[in-house]
Amino acid sequence: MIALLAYIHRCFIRSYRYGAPSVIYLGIILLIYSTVPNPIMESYAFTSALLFVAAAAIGSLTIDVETANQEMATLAHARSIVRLGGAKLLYAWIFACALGAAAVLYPTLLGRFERLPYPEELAMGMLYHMAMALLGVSLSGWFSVKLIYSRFYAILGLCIWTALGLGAGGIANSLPEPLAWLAHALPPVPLTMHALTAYGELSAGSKWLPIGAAALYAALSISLFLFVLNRKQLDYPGE
Amino acid sequence: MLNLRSRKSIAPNATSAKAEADRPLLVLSGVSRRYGARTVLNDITLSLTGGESVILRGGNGSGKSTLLKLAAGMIPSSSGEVVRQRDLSIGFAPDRLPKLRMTSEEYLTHMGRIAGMAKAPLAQRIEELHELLELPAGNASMLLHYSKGMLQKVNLMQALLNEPKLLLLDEPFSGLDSESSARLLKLLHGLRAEGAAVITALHDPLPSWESVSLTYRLREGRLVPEKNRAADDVRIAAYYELDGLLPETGRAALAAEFPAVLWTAAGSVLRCGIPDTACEDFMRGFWAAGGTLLSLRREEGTP
Repeated sequence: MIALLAYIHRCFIRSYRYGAPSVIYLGIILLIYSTVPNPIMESYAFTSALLFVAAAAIGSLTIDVETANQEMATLAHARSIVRLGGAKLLYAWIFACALGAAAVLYPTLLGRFERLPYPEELAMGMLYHMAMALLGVSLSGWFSVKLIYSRFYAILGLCIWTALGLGAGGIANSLPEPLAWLAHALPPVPLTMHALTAYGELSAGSKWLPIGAAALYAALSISLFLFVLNRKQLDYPGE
Repeated sequence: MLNLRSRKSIAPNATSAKAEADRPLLVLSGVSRRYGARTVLNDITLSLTGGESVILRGGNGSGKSTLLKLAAGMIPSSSGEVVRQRDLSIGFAPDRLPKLRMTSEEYLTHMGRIAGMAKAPLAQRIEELHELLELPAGNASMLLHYSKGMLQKVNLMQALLNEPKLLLLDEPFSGLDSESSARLLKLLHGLRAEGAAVITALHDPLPSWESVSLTYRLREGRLVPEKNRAADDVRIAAYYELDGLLPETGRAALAAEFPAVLWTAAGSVLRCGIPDTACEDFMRGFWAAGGTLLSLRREEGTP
């Protein structure tokens, strides 16, 4: 797995695919922290929600980082498409977590908050960012050329699904009662946003709930994606 | 070891080395592959043991690459059964390697490490392969700046890296110059002699490889056996070695007319090993087909 991660890292970094999502994410962080003071957990709510979108983009770019022929050769050596696909998603998550760490530490170290965050706030802030990164990456595989013929429709689908995830709370409220369960199919982003904006008023269990929900949703999404990938192998719609 | 959609694996049997050697590495039984309404491969049955070689011929889009991917387990079949020997190491060279932003050594090191090779033997193997295929090792240029032939050499190196028992090559001679083609041919003969099974998808005639291979043509998705043109006549005591250019149509016609001639093609450049008794007639045909002679020399022995 480490050998696969090292290879994917080299492909990803030298492809410069990281450029757009990273620059936009870090640029927005610089912009929002250009004024002081900022509330701690509310700021983390915004940057973690933004990381969800950035991680989805990074995951999508990582899963398609190899050309078809390149991937055939890699697969012959990796011997398992689950290992190869899993390594790509894991790499995307690690990369997105690095962006999350920047979002947590930059305002702390440069004094952009109203006060210095407590260690618990820093730790929970980092965990929420990691959970949102995982949630974003878990969607990316479904919206790649592995499963969708056109890259345009794959990106469009990813944009729509991430937007629905961000607005899942409102969607759940507006759905008629018999269809309310449909909202559970959407990524549980609003749980995290709510937990961070009302952090001081929540019990310990309520603080951990969004992290558990995101991890569960991501685990199901990734497992199902790898199962489908294992059945299809390199039989992409574009092939 | 191989976990690429192998529907079943053939368990190793330690009872006898002979039985083990005769055990098929790969068996395709009634395999079909459809894309929508189009049937690309239809009821393919093929068995391959160690030391055997199969050549696949057919026009563009006839299904050669699809069959190679099926054999490698990289795509599932629509029906039928693909059975590979358990722990079978497979080397796969696609028809071309893309221009990557890494050097050949970086790329091959990554592939070897992914395959689980230890660092020191891997470095040695990479150097050995660079030498075998005459590509300068330690070249700081990225694959991005490589020519088609150089990329093809790296592509072949990655397939040969882990000394596979089953080698699947899609147009391996494409882009190689005549000298590199000859080296690759020698390498393939050596691998086969050491017990590796080889399936190659080929366009150009290659009598010295055909003489030791079963040749099939893919026609409307079906595998049709072809008579090996070179099998009956590879013993050439003295011969003429011709380097020249010849259009594709003339090439096919001459290959059919002179089955004893050994062909090595690298793009449009050909090297032909012509039996001395056939040289005169062959040259007449060569000129008539619009050939351009670059050199012609007599050699002793066999090509």
